[in-house]
Amino acid sequence: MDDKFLYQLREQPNAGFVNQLRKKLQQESAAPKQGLGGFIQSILSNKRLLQAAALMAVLAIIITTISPARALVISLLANVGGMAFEVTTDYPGDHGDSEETIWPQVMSLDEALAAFPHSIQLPAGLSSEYVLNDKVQVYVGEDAGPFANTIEFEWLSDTNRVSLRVTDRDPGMAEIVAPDALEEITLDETHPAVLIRGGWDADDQVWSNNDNWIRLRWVMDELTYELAGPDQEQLIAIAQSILK
Amino acid sequence: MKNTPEILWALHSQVEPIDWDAVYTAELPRVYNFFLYKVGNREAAQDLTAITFERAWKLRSRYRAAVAALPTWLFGIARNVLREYLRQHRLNEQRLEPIVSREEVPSNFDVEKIVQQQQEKECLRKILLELADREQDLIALKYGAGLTNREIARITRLSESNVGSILHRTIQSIRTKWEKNHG
Repeated sequence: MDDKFLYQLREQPNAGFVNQLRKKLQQESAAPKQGLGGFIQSILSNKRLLQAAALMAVLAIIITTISPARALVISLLANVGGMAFEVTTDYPGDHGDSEETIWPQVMSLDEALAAFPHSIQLPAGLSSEYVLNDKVQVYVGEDAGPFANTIEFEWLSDTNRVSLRVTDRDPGMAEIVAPDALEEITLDETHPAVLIRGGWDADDQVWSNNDNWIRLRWVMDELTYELAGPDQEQLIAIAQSILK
Repeated sequence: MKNTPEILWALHSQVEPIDWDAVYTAELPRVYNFFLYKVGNREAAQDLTAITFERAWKLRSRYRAAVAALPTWLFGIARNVLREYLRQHRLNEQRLEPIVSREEVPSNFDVEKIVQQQQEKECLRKILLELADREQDLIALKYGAGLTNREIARITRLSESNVGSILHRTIQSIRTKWEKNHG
């Protein structure tokens, strides 16, 4: 196919801009020394850094001697279906009480879709017994912190619930899971996905799958989609209805 | 399985220091044109290019050739920069600001021809800016940045065949609109 006409918008960037930016980058590069030698030298010449290094050494001793802390470190980083997971049989660590709770903004479907900064695909494969809860949860803006740009939908039937979470959070940020929690599947030839079963039971301090809750996660258009519900086949069918 | 020369080459590429000045020279026009195709505005394309390279230069000690090829890494940063920009400038009208009106025209040129070229460019730019985000992205990576389908696939996390078929469909659609305007 003749596509030459599509190149006609290309142009050389302005020479002044190119030179100015190069100069700026060179000036920034000329700043501090990098590498291990420079790092050690800067530590030795700086009392505060020396103290920080001593503190890190103490932390290293704590990590290797205290079981829960060690468990956080001794784990395996796995890449399943293009998404990162930290797989461990040990204690994943509980969140402290002091941790700040981030609340979503609750909006109607139309408001939520307008507030969310990406266009997303909604499922078409849900049976009529499921009704979309019109209170859509949206995490946007500075207050949303690490959850920023996340949207959550919920469909309810008389007996079941299915939820969908879509986020632009980097799928390379690992979630901690148990070794038998993951199963890689394919939704179609271009969309690998992962089934995640169970989670950490903070009351009994064990990994558990007693609630039979399954999550199905995949990446599409740089967004991570995650469906959750009790029925694996249903989740897969819904996911396939979302695919482009 | 990799054979010995491939393994040696992979090891060599790990220890061979990267000439970042050469990277700048080679990649800057590609990144700039990627932005130009996406936002259709020279000043914005320059700003976004500068932010991309400043960010890349700060992160370059963390770049690992074994994890991602340089264009994949650099255009990953560029696309994040663009996403932030588009979030801040939700009004798409800003992207329609014409470039051609400020293009310098040499005095000894055929004015009629220049005007025609400018009109064609403007028409194409409008067609591109009307594309859906993903299609526009792929066109900007292919024709603006001059990347191969394989490189685009790595950057966008689409399969190479998927990139090929989306591009094929998109080019056909652009061509139809283009010919309609020039028919």
